[in-house]
Amino acid sequence: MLRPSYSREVAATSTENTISQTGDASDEELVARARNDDLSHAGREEILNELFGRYHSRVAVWCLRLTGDGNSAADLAQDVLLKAWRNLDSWNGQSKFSTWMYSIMRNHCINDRAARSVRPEGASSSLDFDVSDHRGRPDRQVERESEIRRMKHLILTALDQTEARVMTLHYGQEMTLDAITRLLSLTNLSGAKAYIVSARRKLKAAVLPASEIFAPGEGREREGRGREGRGREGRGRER
Amino acid sequence: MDNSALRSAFQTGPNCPSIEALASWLERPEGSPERRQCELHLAECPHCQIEIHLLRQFEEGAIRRDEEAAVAAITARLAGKPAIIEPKPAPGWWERMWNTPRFMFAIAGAAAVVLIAAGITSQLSLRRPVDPPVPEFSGGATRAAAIDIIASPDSFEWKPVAGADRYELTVRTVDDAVIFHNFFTATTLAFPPEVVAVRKTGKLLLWEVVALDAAGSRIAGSGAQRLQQRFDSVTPERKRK
Repeated sequence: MLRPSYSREVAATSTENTISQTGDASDEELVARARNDDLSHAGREEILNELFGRYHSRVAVWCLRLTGDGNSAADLAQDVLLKAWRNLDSWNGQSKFSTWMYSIMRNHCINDRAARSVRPEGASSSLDFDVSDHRGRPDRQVERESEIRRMKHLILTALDQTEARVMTLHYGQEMTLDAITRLLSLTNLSGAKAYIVSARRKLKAAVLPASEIFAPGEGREREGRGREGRGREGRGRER
Repeated sequence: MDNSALRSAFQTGPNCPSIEALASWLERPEGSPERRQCELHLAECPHCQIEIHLLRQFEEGAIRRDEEAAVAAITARLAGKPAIIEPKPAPGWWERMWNTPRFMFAIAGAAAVVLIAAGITSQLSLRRPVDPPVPEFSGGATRAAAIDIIASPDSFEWKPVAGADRYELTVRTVDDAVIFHNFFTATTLAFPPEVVAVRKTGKLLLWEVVALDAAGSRIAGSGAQRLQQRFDSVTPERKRK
């Protein structure tokens, strides 16, 4: 199937004078110049080539981290830039141009992932520490909002910054663990998965009342550890 | 409380402003109502915190060394330039013959004979102990030298990097808990007590050396190296367990 090609659409024209004039201009200035009605079609393209050329590597890196594959990343980056090029008129100058570009790119990547309907590993499953039996289920919207606020506070106090980021990207934005590892440049051996495991363990310990965590006759370590968190020693004891 | 409330806490909420609004409010003068409101929201919203973090990362546009080649190929394609990687030429007669199964079996057989002969010869010669592999990095190029140490070395060792003023050594567990961290000018260090204590448990440790210049800027890094005590030579009692 033929794909619309960003590089074809923005095929370079050789007007080096314009480039030298636009080189020092800010992104916002370039857009303003491109919107000038007196500008010829070629001149406008020239300016936009310069503008979007500044974002090639930034978009490429993001797409590469998200997909983990050079070919898919190139396709995704093409689509993102093409979409931004075609929707340039929607930028209203309320935010920086770079923020608008980021917003276009991020939304496109999320929609693309949704269209492919590939749910990340574990994202559709339960968070594995259902405590509805202990606290009851709020029916009213106000109560629910208050509960969500409490959960947000819990996330930010119980988890460290990286754990909170990993959990938000995985459970909030349904991003795969591999993509999160690349996106956050995690250098530990098991990447985002290690943070998910430790965050779930911490959240479970923070959500359940202390009396339930330390049930009579059960050691703290055994109960406090999540299913995934049991190490070599824990499994040894169970045998 | 149910799981859905917790899941919702990770997602964008009805009160979350758009990323464009967030970013523009953060550029307002300090103390202005919009900025204060934005900071208050950020302080309690993990979703918006990560959004701002990713936006800053995007604006910074830093490319890791392992991404450089792929990014160059993608940007070349975006700019409409010819691909950097040339298409592979059609295989010649030698390559076609090499790929036939019969030829591969013949080569494998010949290699096996040579290896057996070499093994017998080495048995006859004086045995020389093999040095354990040492992670190294030099001149900015990193080399992954993941090793499960059997020979029980007792020190960290790395190759000097030109222009390095000092080296930052970090040892951590796989769940990223730092158990040792310090700066050195030498390129070797006997295992500190913290490391020795953890190694005795058999836990996998990761260690990383970063070369810093006089200004404290990073010149090169070794990447995470594995350090694990195997119990191959441990007492039979332990093996029986």
